[in-house]
Amino acid sequence: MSAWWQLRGFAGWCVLLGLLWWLLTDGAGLGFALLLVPACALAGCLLAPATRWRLRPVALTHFAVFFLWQSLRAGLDVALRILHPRLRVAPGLCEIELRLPAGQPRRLLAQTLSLLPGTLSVRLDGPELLLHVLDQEQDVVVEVRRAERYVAAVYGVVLEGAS
Amino acid sequence: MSELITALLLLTGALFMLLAALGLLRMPDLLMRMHATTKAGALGSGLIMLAVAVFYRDAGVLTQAFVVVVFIMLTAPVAAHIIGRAGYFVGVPLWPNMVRDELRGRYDPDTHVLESPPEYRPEPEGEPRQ
Repeated sequence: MSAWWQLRGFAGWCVLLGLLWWLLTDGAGLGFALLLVPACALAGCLLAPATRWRLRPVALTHFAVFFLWQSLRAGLDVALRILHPRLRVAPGLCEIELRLPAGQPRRLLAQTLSLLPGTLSVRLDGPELLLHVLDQEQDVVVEVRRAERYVAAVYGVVLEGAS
Repeated sequence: MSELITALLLLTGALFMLLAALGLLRMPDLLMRMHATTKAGALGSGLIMLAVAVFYRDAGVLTQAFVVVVFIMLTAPVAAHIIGRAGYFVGVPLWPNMVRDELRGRYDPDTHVLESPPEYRPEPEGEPRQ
């Protein structure tokens, strides 16, 4: 069963990476791709073994829209801070306990937060996420919880203690 | 018209890239620099790819531009996270004017162990307030 899952994961990586290669190069350098795609797929399997998480397409779309909009806001926000004559920042490190299950969901949230306005994830250790915050006046916990709900929906997970 | 939009998108994209570089110079420590380069940089390159898609108005180019943007959005935060994490582990000094550092005195750079503060584990944060 496990070997079968890993094989499926490998095949999935091959299809995904092959498609990506074809999209980006219009099919040029096929010999190179035949060598590199399986190699990268193998690396993908070794570094991120196949898991049973299933993505919900509708929730994924909601998440993508949220993510795009927030990263636009984040870019503007940080740009304005940089341009401010006195460099408008009040940075800090804070730790937040995530309510998402271990593995992919937590990692996706940590990566998402790095492109959200004012937050950068520094370390993920179990459920504890260490965040660097650009401006302490921003209500980080509320933003993290909101992003967490989007990620939970993508994986169809019910958050503990959330209503 | 489409040339005007292309020009505007290219210019704003380039402006954000420039601001990312400026942030790299102005921000006082590693983690704050990562904020500048990931967020402003990703937005800048996204806008430039959008300009490319608008200019060519071709399904193939549009998909390629889309894939490039997705790729940047997937890799930029990962890279920032890994660099920030590495910086924390090797003990790169943080800006002394930080408002809050919940890790001060709790992190052991030799063992990479992060101790829980004694007063930690209050009730879970972010609960809807009644």
